[in-house]
Amino acid sequence: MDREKQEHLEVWMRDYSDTLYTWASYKLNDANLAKDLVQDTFISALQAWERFEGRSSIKTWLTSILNNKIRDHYRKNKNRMFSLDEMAGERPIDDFFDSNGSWKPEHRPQLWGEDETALLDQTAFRDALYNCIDGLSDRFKNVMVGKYLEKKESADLCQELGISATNFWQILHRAKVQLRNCLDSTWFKHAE
Amino acid sequence: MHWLMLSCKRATQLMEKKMHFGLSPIEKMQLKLHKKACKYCTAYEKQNEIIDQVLQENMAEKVQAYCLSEEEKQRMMETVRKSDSISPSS
Repeated sequence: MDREKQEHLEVWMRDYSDTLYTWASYKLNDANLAKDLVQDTFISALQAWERFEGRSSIKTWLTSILNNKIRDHYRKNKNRMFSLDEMAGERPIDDFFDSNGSWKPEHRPQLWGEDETALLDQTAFRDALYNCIDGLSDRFKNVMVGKYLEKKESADLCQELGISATNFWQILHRAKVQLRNCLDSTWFKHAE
Repeated sequence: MHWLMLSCKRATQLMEKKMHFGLSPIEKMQLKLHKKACKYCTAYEKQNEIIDQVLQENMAEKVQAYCLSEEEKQRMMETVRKSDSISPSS
């Protein structure tokens, strides 16, 4: 290995390995596999280095190599992206809606006070929200992290997760209904 | 049910679709009509937007970061180095 490559590798390892590892861990839900794919990403990046034209940042470039590896992994290993384990803790959507698709009486959304946008400034509200997210299934969490952590275009994210667009917003819908319900019961205890 | 009338389940699904992909003109109209008639879904949409805004603003701070130890990084670097010296492109 020449010195130039060696130096690149050291910089990448120092600056990006943890970010890539975090990203892969959420998407794969498997720390060892995440490590392997990050390692493979660096191997591929070194091989392709001469072809890197600097049109994007190094981080973006490395992330796209990693995402390809994640996609390949899903393509090779299973057609179904989500395991039952990853779905543990999910409430069926019919917990919230009746057979006509109307809100069940106990789950009808009520206003969260007079000025709901004021909630945005409340740290405690934000904390409650993230506590609720912690209680969601891995599948719900991963989709949300993918969407909101990297501010990805939804279409790109669907491709990386190996799911269709319809599947994607339906999963997010279920995640949000459950999340909102959790906030309802932990943060806003309605005085009934 | 009239084709223009959505159920609450469908209406709230469309709100999610709207956020991430956008809606067709018919879907827009259906959703508008539904919200006019349904205060629960109107409340839901507002709250969903608040949730969305919080997530947009600071999901990054709240996500638990995973870190590789120095030892793991060294080991990884070693493996990558070796693979590069045997690969045909180097």
